[in-house]
Amino acid sequence: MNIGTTQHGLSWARSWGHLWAAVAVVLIGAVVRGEDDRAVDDLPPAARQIQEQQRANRVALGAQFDQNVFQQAGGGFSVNTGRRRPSPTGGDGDQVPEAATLTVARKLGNDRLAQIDSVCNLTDAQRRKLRLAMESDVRRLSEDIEAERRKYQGVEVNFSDQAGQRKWQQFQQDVQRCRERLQGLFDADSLVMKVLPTTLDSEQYARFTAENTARRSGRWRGLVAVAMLKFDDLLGLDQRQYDEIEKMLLEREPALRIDGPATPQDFHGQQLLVSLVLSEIDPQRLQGIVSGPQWQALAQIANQGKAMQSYIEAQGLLEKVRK
Amino acid sequence: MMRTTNQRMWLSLVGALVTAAVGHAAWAQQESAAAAKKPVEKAARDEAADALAGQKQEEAKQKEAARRAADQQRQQQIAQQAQHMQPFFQPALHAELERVRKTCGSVPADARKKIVAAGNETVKVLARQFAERQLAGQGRQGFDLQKTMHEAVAAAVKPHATEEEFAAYEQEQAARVARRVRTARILIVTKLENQLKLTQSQREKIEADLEKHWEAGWLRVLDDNGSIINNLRPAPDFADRCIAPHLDDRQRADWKSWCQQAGWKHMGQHFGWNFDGQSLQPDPWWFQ
Repeated sequence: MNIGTTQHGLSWARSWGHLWAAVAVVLIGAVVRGEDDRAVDDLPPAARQIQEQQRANRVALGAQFDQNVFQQAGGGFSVNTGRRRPSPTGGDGDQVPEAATLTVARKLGNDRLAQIDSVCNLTDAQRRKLRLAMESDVRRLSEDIEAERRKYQGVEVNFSDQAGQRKWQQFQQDVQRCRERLQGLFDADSLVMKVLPTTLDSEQYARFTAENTARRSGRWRGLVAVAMLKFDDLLGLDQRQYDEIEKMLLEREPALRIDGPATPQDFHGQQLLVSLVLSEIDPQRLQGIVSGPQWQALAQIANQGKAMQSYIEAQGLLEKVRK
Repeated sequence: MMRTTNQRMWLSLVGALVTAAVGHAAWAQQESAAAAKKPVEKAARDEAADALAGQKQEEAKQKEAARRAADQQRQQQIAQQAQHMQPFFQPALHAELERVRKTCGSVPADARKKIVAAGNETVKVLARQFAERQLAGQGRQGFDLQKTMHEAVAAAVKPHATEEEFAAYEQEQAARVARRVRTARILIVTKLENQLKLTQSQREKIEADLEKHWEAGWLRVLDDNGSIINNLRPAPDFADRCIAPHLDDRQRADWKSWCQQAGWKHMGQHFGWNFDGQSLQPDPWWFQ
C-alpha cells in the first residue's frame, strides 16, 4: 500500500513535471516563433518577393509523381509548387503506397475482364485464369512504376538552377514511360492477351476478335467523322469529294488502342492522328479529287499531322503490335 | 360724483368698443402682416420647387449622358469585336463560294463579283451579330453560321445561275446538312463507346434509335471541340431516351454518374465551328 502510495506520488510528481516541461516548450516555441515572424516581417518587400519566388521554384518531385502519371495522361505535366499537397491517389507523394498503382491498374483490369465476359460469357475457370494473368500484368506494372516512383522519393529540385531543370526533364521522361506502360497494360504483348487464345474456345475467341475489330473500326470512324466535319466546313467539299476522302481515311485504319485508361484530353491528339494518316495517302490520289486551292489547304493539314508524329505517338493512342 | 346707470352703461359700451377696436386693429395688423408674408413664402416654395426640378432635370441629363456614353462605349466594343471576328467567319464564306463555283459554272464574271460582295457583307453582319450576342452574354440559339452564309450566298447566286445549276447547288447544301446530322450521330455513339465500352450490337441499336428519333437540337454535339468537364468529355445526355434503354446495369450506372458529372448543361453557351487559322483561298475563277 505504501509502495503504491509512493509510486502514485512519484507518478503525480512526474505528471506535473511533464506538464511544466510542456508549458515551457510551448512558451519558448512561441517566443522563437515570434522572433521568426519578426525576422520575416522585417524583410524588405523585394527580398520577401525573392524568397517567395525561390520557395515557388522548389518542387518536391515525389509529391508530383502520381498526379502526373495517373491524371495527366493527355501528355501534359502539372506542378504544385511550394507547400506539398496530398497526392490525388491518396498518398502524401513521398510515401505513396504501391496500392495507388494497383488500384488504378486493377480497375483497368476489371473493366477489361468485364468486357471480355460480356462478349464471351466466360466460365468460372476461364474467368479465374484470366484474372490470374491480369493480376500478373498488374503486379509487373506496379513494380515498374514503383521503381520509378522510388527514384523521386524525397527529391526536391529547384527550377531556378540548371541541375534542377535537368532533373525535371528526367522526371518528365520517366513519368511519360510510366504512362505508356499504364496505357499499354493490356496490349497485345500482355499476359492476359497472350493466354486469351488458349483460354477461350474457338467460337468465343472469334467473337472476341470480331468485337474488338468492330470497336476499333467504330472509334476510327468517329475520329474520321470529326475530321471530315472540319474538312467539309473548311474546303467546301461536295458529296463525291467527301465520300472519296472519307473512304481513303477509313481504309487506313491505324491500330487504335481501345482499352487503355480513359483520357479525355486526347481530342487534339486524335485529330492530329487523322491528319497524320491523311499525310500517308498518296498525294496524287487526293489531288485527283480536289481543286487546286482545296489541295493547298488539305496539304497544310496533312503536313501538320506529319510534323506532330512524335507527339501523336507519345499520346499512347496507338497500340503496340505484338512482334 | 355719482354717475347714473345710463352713464355707466355708456362708459362700459365705449370701453368695450375701444377694446374691440384695439383688438381688431391688432388682428388686422396681424392679417395684413400674414398677407404680406404669403407671397414671400410662395416665392420661396416656388424657388425650392424650381431648384428641385432643375436638379432632377440635371440628374436626368447626366443619366442620359452616361447612358449615351455607355451605349457608345458598348457600340465601340461591338464594332471592335466584330472587326476582330471577321477572319473567323471568312472560311465559311470561302467554303460556300467553292460549292457555288463547282455547281454554278455558268455564272458570268460580273455576277461573281456581286456574289463575293454579298458574301463579304454577310461576313460583316455575322461578325456583328456574334459580337452583340457575345457582349450581351447570349448563347448560340438562333445563330447558325453555315445556314446564314448559305442563304445569303444562295440569294445572290440565284438570279445569275441556270435553274439546273441552282438546283444542283441546293442539292449539295442538303447533302451537307445530312452529313452533319450523320456526323453528329456517329459522334454521340463514339463518345458513348469511349466512356462506356459498348458492344457492336449496342452501338448499332443506339445509332438506329438516334436516327429514328433525331432532333435538330442534337446537332449541338458538333459544338464539342474537345471540351472537358470534371475530367470527362461532355455526356450527350440530351439523347438519353435513345441511349439508356440499350445499356446494361454496369453501363447504366456509369452513364448516370457521367451525366451527373459532365452533363450537357455544364457545357455553357458555345459557338462551335471549325477554325484554327486554316482557310481555303478562293479559286482564281472568282476574280476573272
